[in-house]
Amino acid sequence: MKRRLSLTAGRIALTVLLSLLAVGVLLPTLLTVTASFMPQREIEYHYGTADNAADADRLALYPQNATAEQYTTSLLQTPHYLMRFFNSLWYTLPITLGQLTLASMAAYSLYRCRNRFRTGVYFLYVLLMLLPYQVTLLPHYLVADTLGLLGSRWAVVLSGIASPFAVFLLSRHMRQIPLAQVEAAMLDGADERRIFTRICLPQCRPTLWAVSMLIFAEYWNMIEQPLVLLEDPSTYPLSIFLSQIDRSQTGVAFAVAVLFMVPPLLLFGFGQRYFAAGFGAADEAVPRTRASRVFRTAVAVGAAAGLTVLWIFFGNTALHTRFTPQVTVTTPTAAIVNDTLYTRVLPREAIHTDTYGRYVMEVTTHTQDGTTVQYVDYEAVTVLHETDEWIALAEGGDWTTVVLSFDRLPPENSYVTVKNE
Amino acid sequence: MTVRNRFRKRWQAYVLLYPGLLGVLLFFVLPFFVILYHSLVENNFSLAFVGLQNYRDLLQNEAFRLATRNTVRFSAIAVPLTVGVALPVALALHCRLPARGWLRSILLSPLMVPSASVLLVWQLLFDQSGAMNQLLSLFSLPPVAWLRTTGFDCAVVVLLFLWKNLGYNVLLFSAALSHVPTAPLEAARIDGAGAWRRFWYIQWRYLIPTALFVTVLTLANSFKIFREVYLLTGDYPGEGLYMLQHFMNNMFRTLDYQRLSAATAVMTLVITLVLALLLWLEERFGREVEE
Repeated sequence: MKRRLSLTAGRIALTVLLSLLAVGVLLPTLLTVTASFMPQREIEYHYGTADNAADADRLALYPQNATAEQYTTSLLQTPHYLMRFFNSLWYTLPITLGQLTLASMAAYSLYRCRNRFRTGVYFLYVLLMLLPYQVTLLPHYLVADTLGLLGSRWAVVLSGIASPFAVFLLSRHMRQIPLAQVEAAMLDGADERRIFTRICLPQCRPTLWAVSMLIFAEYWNMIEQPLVLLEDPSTYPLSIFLSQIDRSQTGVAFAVAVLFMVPPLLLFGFGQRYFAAGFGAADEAVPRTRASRVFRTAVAVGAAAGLTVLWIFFGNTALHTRFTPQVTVTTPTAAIVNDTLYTRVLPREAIHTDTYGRYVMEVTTHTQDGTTVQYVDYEAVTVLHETDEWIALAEGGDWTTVVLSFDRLPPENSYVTVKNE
Repeated sequence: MTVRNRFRKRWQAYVLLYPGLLGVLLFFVLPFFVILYHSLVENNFSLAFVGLQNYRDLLQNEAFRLATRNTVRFSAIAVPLTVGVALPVALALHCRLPARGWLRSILLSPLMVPSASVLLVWQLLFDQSGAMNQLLSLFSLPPVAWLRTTGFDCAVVVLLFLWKNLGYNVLLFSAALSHVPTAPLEAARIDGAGAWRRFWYIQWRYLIPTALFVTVLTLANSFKIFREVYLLTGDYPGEGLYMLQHFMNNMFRTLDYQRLSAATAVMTLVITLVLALLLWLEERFGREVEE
């Protein structure tokens, strides 16, 4: 009796300990989500990025004045984030599906053909799977260069599809399928194609789910390949773009970060029941109730519909221009740099206020091949002279110009776009 | 069924291997020979054979040495730590705890949450005036420039690695634990063996191959830490976080084929040897347990 009691106490302690661990593990994700609903000022306050760091409060778990402003800013007013989001999607989806197809075929072949050749190929796959990008990127680069794919999306997609990662787990699972099943099917007249699609693949379903989740997470998050294989930053996936969002826009960055984690987490939610079994755990085949099936279908349909709507309205550049005001481009006429502030004389039309009353300037940087990368800089602009004076300090030609000060120098070759609103 | 018939059917299975194998050969194996060639010539224009000169230059290169040191140090700390923490957690989850499915899912979630999404929180937590330093000031400790002090920056990245990979390792250990036969465990319990002895003399024997396999996977993952370092600190991190991938990226920027090739060849050789050793160990100890 006594022993059982102490055992229970131990188990309670274990549960508490593990729950604490789980809370700690969840914390970064949760903080990202809550911070995305904070106004920029509150983020600076809680996370101490404000200049007066001494005033910074401790970490806040939830926003005091919740707002969806960051989401509307990132989704509706600036196309750059969503364009990168869909970049990520168009890289990750083909890679996941392609690699899964090739790998399941290869795994089946390795399962059926047992000879010395097989052992060699299998070891090659295991070895290549474990080689890091530091080693495999130069080969990819050389091949892409030879095929003339360098700088195009195909360089990333094809090398991703060719990656041997999935073969190992799949063939480890297939090895457990009894050969008797295959032989029985053959006696019944099934050919290899039928055995592959009707016997092996259905039994590998948990592993297929687990592997596709791993591949998706891996490539959704990729950094190394685009940095080396792509040239134009406008083709970069959101993973790289996120790290380059300016510090003064942390609010928007948080909203985009939350958007960015939705697809892999959705996939995680769907495949989660298979994940343990996919890695060979013997337990837990959670029965699927009718309600959960309806729920899952609803979520899947909702996600697909949401993505389509986003794509049609904001992800597609051609359509997007219809929804934005007309834009003309002009160059700063003079630059005065004093100790702390960079000052430029800009046409007045270059400056406008956004819906929140902030002064907004759009800076367009030209890249080498003539395409442009655009970003909106919110906090960089301070108008030196308020009210009446700040217009018409100098009048030259057709332009009414204003003197503006920046807290950082706009990049070289910057242009300023003028919105005719 | 005749032999010929059987063969005719079997070739279909062979054919299925080709598309995948073709991709692997094209993108991984063939270019490797080109790389070997590049690493042995003076430059791409003269193509004069210089033997091992490029390798000698590489090994004397300060940046390469620094990057190697950092990468090795990181793996040497992060891999044993992650494997060592995952095993007790998996064992704890193996006791039929309430909500263990949930706990395991939560532990696994960082694997699916993209690093790029949470990096902002990490950056802000470990900022000069970030939450971590605020926490320190509660205990009246001086603030630390987390990402700019050698040692602390490595610790931050190790923590990030642990956060990301713990759940995956726990899952692999859990899967292996679920296959340990229960009969000897029951017998040992009846004979009065304590939890520790049951673990050490029974469960651990079955876990050895998994432990080695998990170590191999974690090692392979630890080379990918460049991602998180890049997200946290960009192209030019402090000296303690300058990884091999940074070195390679800089070489790519100047397209120094010879040095890139030599570096790739050296790394492939070293990593292949280490992996082959670990895989051989797994094969050997794996066999012993089966019997």
